[in-house]
Amino acid sequence: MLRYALAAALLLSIPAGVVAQSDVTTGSQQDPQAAYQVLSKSYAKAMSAWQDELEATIMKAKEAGERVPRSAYAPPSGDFVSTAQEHAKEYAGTDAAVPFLGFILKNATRERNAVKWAVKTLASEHVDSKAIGDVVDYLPKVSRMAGRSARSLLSDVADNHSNKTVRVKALLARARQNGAADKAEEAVADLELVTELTTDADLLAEAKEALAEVQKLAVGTPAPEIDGVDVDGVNFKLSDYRGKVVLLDFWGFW
Amino acid sequence: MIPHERSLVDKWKDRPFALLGVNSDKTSTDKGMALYKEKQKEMGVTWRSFRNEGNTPNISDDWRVRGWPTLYYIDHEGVIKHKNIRGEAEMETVLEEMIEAAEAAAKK
Repeated sequence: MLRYALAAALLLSIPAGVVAQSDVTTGSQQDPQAAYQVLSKSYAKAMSAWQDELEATIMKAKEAGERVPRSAYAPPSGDFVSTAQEHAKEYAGTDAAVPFLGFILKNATRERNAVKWAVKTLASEHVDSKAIGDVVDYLPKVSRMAGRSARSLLSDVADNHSNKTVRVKALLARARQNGAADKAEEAVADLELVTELTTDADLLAEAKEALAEVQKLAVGTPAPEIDGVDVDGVNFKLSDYRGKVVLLDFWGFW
Repeated sequence: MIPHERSLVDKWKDRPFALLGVNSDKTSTDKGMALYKEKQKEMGVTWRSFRNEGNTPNISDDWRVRGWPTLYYIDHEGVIKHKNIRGEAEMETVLEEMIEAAEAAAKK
């Protein structure tokens, strides 16, 4: 959880080069893009403050020999998800709502209801829009919180969207999801379709990278090298055992 | 699990076979190491393991491990032949075939 939260914070801290606005109020007649930037920036700020605070709390607990309270690990996503939801309602039915729905998918950590609502709204109001191409990448991330609905929305866009680029983006997202779940065949089929549908160099490069990732651990491919240390701290490599059959077992006593 | 694995190591100790672990008991810490040593003795773990943590990325991340235990069957040329076969009888059949192939290759 922490890792995702930190990754999100890092992503968002990249300067967007957009008009800075100090007004964080919602519901005003702001331009939606500016409103999105305000939300993103204030979220990035809150995440970085939370991260600093968490580090301090951990240090303090360590010194005192106490446990870190569980609540300290909860990133401050709730308020921002609510704000995104308000904006999405404000721009309901238009493409301007889509980035806010995407924000919810991308940043929600335990706001299950908001995620379910966002997926439902995307599916019912934006499934044919081009704008949905920019948020399909976040759908695999919420498949636990949103259940089957996120999966079926992703598949709907991947299989049926009229815009080829949007379809390709959804196919890439679905292929990565299937690849991570060890469904190599399905992932490869999607990636092959990508190469038929697009000539865009960036998207093709993404497909190539995803294909390498999917095939990396497939049966019939060379095992990736492991160069590490044993439990006593002595260096060794998986390839030291070439010539022998190796049963590699990921395990622990716990 | 562990008793069966130990029996495989014993059974094939003179043949081209190695059981290698990737262990997630945080043996880079004193506490993890103490626990590991205690359990290792108690359970009779005779094989070598990589430390999962402390590698960047963790080996289990690199190998996309989503549940423990996870098994990979790697042949004498370093190619992944099977994944996640768990049944003891099937494990032995598959490994026996692979070991025979390794021995045949070594004779050539």
